[in-house]
Parts: sequence; structure tokens; C-alpha cells
Amino acid sequence: MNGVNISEDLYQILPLIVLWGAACVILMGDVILWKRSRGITAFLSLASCLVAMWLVLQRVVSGDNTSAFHDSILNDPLALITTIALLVTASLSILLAWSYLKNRGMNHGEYYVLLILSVTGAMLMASANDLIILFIGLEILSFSLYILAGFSRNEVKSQESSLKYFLLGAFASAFLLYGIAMIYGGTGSINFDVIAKEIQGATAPNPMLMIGIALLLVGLGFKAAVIPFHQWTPDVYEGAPTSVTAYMAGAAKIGAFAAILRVFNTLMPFHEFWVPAIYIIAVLTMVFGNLLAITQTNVKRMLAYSSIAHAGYLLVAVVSMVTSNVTAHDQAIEGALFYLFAYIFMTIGAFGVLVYLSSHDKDYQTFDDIRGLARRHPLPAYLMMFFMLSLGGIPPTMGFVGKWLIFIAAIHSGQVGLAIVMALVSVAAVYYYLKVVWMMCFEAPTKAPSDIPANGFPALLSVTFCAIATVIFGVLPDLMINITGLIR
Amino acid sequence: MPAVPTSYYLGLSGVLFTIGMIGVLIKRNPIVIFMCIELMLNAVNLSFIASGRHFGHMAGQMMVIFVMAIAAAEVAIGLGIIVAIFRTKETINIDEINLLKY
Amino acid sequence: MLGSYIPLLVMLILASLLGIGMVGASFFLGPKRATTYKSSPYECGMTPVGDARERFPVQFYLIAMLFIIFDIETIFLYPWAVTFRMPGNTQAYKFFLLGEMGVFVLILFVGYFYIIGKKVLDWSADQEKIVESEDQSILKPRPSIRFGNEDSGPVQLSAKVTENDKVTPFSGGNK
Repeated sequence: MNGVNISEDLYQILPLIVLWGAACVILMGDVILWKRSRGITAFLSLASCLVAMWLVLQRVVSGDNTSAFHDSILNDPLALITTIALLVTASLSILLAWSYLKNRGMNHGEYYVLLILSVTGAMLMASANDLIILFIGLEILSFSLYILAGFSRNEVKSQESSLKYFLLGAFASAFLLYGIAMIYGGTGSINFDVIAKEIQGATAPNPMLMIGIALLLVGLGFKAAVIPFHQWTPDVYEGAPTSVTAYMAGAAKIGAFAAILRVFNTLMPFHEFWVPAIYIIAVLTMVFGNLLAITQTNVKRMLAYSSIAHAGYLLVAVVSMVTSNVTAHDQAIEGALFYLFAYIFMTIGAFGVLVYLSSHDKDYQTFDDIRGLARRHPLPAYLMMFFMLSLGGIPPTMGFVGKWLIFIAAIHSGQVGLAIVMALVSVAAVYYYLKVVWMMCFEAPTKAPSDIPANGFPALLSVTFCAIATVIFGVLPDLMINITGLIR
Repeated sequence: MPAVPTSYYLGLSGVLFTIGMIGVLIKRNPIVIFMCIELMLNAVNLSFIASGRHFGHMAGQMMVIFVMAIAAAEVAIGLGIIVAIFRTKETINIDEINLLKY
Repeated sequence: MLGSYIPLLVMLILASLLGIGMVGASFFLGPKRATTYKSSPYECGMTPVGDARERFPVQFYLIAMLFIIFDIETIFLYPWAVTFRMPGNTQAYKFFLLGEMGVFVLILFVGYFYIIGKKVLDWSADQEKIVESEDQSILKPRPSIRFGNEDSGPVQLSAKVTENDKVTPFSGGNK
């Protein structure tokens, strides 16, 4: 324990320190220094996210793969890549919120502070090499999201979604924590490396470990919104302010899947125990996520169910991870990471269009709102069309490439049944995505064409960025595969 | 006098956790639900301490401290949300908080 | 060894029997005629002025929440203090640990200054806001304190009191 070691440790979490410091400074500044100007708050938050992203990218380029704080934090490529995805999500969400909050009369600086803090929680989850760090990261992420969901203080729906999210989330966290306690009791350690060493050679977990794995799956499954732990998702996504929904859909899912990938990679020796469970959950999630999305009449709710379905596709990658073939194993993780990137661009873009179109008094969200949109506001309508095509997995978009990579990985690791289910439900899903496109382009508007989008340039910038990324990485997937391929 | 075996502690923690879980499922007042969640967290704390003593490391106890801090933050946020919803809706009965559904 | 406690146990049983017997006897044998004054809650001789379940100002809850957070944070001082006094810590390492605690406290102070900046602890400001606002109902004068033996008429607290129960005071209540 000497000084050199500690500074090395601190260097490893420098992006986190930057964000935490920025959160403290911005909070103080917002309350005391620049009371009236939220523009400064938003700008500083965006800047701190970009600085953190630059630091992470530097680490990706230098390619070091080190652990810190007695192996409780591990900055391997998996962690770094998911961290980049998280920071991209945060930056895009800050842009989305910029004028939306002002128009909806909830322009409080705490929004940005909570957003930054929650992204640090998700980053901590991504680089956790220790169950307790994982739990702390998850709670930092969730607490901020509970508050953000209820951020619109005079809207009952927002308050209600916050309460629902909070009660169910706290319930799920208790399960996760009990799972951690059981794993600790079963192996005598909370460190993933030690746990992996402990269970090496074992084929079946002891009863305590078995309960632990099951409960951990419940807790993480709740955060990732997979069926049957999904009931909160549509309600919270609908009730929360749309800019929060966009952020929540991205960040919570990335954090949860980073944790799921790492945890179940560690628990690989027991794959005979957990693979059937995830297999069933994946099938249920894909099938019912898509089926329930078909019947929705609210775009936010529909996108919530679609995000559940996408979690199912990601679980296919988790199952495909289990194979003796090393290439197929890496391919599965790579596919999952590519899909996460595709997912954030598509989802934030789709919610972002709704944010951009929202008026002063009401969120833009029902099918009636978007009917005939192409005639009233062609630009957001065509952007929305891109995202819908990408979510449906139609080439040449990023959504298609992501699905294709996971599909191939599933075939290579021998999960042909799962791959077929995935392909079938993807085709079925195209129906409800195209329904939105049909409504926007070919149906007559039900509203007077006078309502103009009030949410200005930053939101449009963010949405356009998502659209360009969706297309570019769809046409030239190698650009992204070069990054995700670092995990090999 | 023989020490109490670790399995007894783990059993007690399992029972407490189950009581808390049942409470969450059957109660209708968010504050009571919330107390049940706290009971679940404290049941987990008990099992952390029992395992920590069994293995003879500090890790179990340290985790309890973190869990307590997190539980406190959870209490503050939960009460804040409940106060906020009471201000807008004048009720906190779970059955009446039902705007969002199919 | 425990034998010497037997008289104590007997004493305990006798005392509880006596107590239960006396209260129970008066409960079962005594006539029960409720009057308005008898059935109203006993408040040191005053006439009760309203429901005891009054709504508290929200600040009470805020203070309680803030207290929980700042209170729990102190538990982190214990493991820190143990580590600080660990034998074999060099002077430089101790300084580092001190700095670490400084950062921890600084983060708590950020929260504290946020609270002050948001005027959560400033109750008078909230009162002034009420004065400015339209809603003056909170500032209405409360009913003045009255005593039960004044000629102030019966207090409408319980609907259970019927005509038969209405008796003039000090008349013995017999019919």
C-alpha cells in the first residue's frame, strides 16, 4: 500500500472522477452562482461527458487492460466499450433535454446533475469486477432514474411512474442483493476473479450458489426489462418525461447488459444450470415483447415493448456465449456490443423525434399525434422513418447488421432453435414499426397543421446524429466492428 | 457453550426476507411496502454478516455498511417521491394510483 | 439458584391479578352511561378543538429524510478510523487517508450547501411565501382555547350519544 499504487488506481477511474467532480461543481454552481441560466448547466454537463469520453477513448487506443482497487474495478475492453456507449447516450440525452425542459416548465439544473450521476452508476456497473461494486453502481443508476422519472412535478402521470419504478426497482434490488449474499455465502468471495477460480472444475453449483444465481438473474433481468420482469417498463416509459425515457431506455439497458455479460461469463462453469433459464426468458421476451407491442396505440408504450423485445435479442447473444468454440464466444459478445450501440442510436433517435415535436403543454406520444406527420413536419417524419426501419431490422441500417451479427453468433454456437425464433419474431415486428411509418406518411393528419415543434436546434442535432450513425454504421459496419472487436 | 451454527443465521435471514417479500406483495400502502423492502435489505445484511463470520473475513461486514448507506438513500428518495405524489394526487393508496395501464 | 426469585414471581403475579381484578370489576359491574363530556377525549380539562391527526408541514418530512442520510454517512467513519490507526501505516499514507476523508466530507458538504441553497432549512421564507400567496387559510386564527366547565354548549364529537344519555351534570344520572 504505497502512494504510487493509489495514484495508479485513481488514474484508472479518472473518467468517473471527472464526472463526479463535474456533478458536484455543477450542482453548487446551479444553486449558488448562475441561478437563472440553465444553459451553462447543460453546457458544462455536456462538456464533462465529452471530456470523460475522450479519456476513455484514449484508454481504448492505448489498449491497456488493468484492474484497480484490489481487482474490484476492471477496465477491460468490454467495460471500456460499454462505457463509450453510456457516455454517448448521456451526451445525446443532454442535447435532447436542452430546450425540452424549458418548454415543459421543468427547467431545473438537477436534471443534468442526476443524469451525469446516473451515467457514472452505469459506468461503475460496466467496469465492476466485484459484486458489491456492481450493486453500488446499479443503485446509483437506479436512484437517479427514479427521481428523473418523476421530474415533471405537476404531472400526475410522471409522479406515478416514478413511484411505480421506485417500489418495483427497490424490490428487485433487494432480490439482487440477496443473490449477492448467497453467492458470497456459496463461494466465500465477492470478487469475480476469485469466484471464477473457486468454481473452476465444478459442474453443478451448491444449493446456496444456485439460489444466488437465480436471484441475481431476477435482479439484473428487472433492470434489463426482460419478460417476466418487465411490468414496470411500459408504465414508466409512458409516464416519464420523454427526454428521460430516451435516456432511461439507453443507459439502464446498457448497464444491465454489461453486468449480465460479465456475471454470466464468470459463471460459465455452471452453464448447464443457467442456460435453460435464460433460454426460456429470451424466447418469452422476444415473442411477447413483440406481440404486446402490436396492440399499442401510444408510440412511447410501443417503443417500451419494442425495447423489451430488443432485450430478448440481446439475451440470445448471452446464451450464444456458451460454447466451447472460442471464436463463437467472442462473436456473441461482439454481436451484443454492436447491438447495444445500434439500440441506443435507434431508441434515442425515435424518442428524440417525440421530444423534438413535443409542445409546451403536452408530450407528443399517441398515434393520433403522429398521424400525417410527413405532411406537417417532413424532416422529423423522415428521421422517424429511419429509426423505425432500423428498429425493424431492415437493411441497410444498423439494426439489421446488429441482428445479423447476433443471428450468426447463435448459429455458430449451435443455438439454431433460438436463431430461428429470433428471425421469425423480427419479421413479425416489422409490422408494427411499418404501421408507424404508414401512419406518418399515408394517413391524413387529425390535427391542425399549426402546431410547430418548439424544441429547437439541440434536440434536432441529437436526433440527426443518431440517424446518421444508424445509416453509416449500417452501410459500413466495419467501422464499429473494429471497435467492438477489441474484446478478442 | 457451542456457537450458533451459521446455517441458523442464514435460515433466519431467509425467513425475514420471505416475510418482507410477502409484505411487499400484499400491502397497499407504499410506506408499508417500503418498510417491507427495508426488512428484506436487513435480512440480507444478516446473511452477509453470518457468511462473513463463517469465512472469517471483513468483506461481509463492509458490505453491510454499504448496504445500510444505500438503504438510507433509498429511504430518502422513496419518502421524497411519496410526498411529491401526495401533493399532486392527495392519496398514496396503491390501488388509486392507476393512471398508467393498458 | 433461581429459587430465590420465586417470591418475586409470586409478588409479580399477585400484583397483576390485583390490578386486573380492580379494573376488570369496575368495567363489568359499573353502570356505563356515556355523556358528551365523558366520551370526549381527555385533554387536561380543556375542550378538544379538533382531530388529532393533523397534517404536518412538509418540512418535517424533509428534515427527517435529510437526517437519515447525513446520519448514516457517519458509519463510514468507523472503518476509516480503524484503517487509520492500523499499525504499520506510514506518515505519508496517513496523510493520504486524511485527505480521503476530507474528500468524503467535502462531498457531504456539497449536499449540505445544496440544501441551504434551496432554502430547505429556512422555514420563515416558506411562511412569507404563504403570506404572499392567495391561500390564506393556513393563517386563519385557530379557535380560542375553551374549558369544559364553561357554558359553551356540547361539543359535537361523537354521534353515538343519544337523547337518553343527555343528563344534567351533577344530578346523579339516575332515572
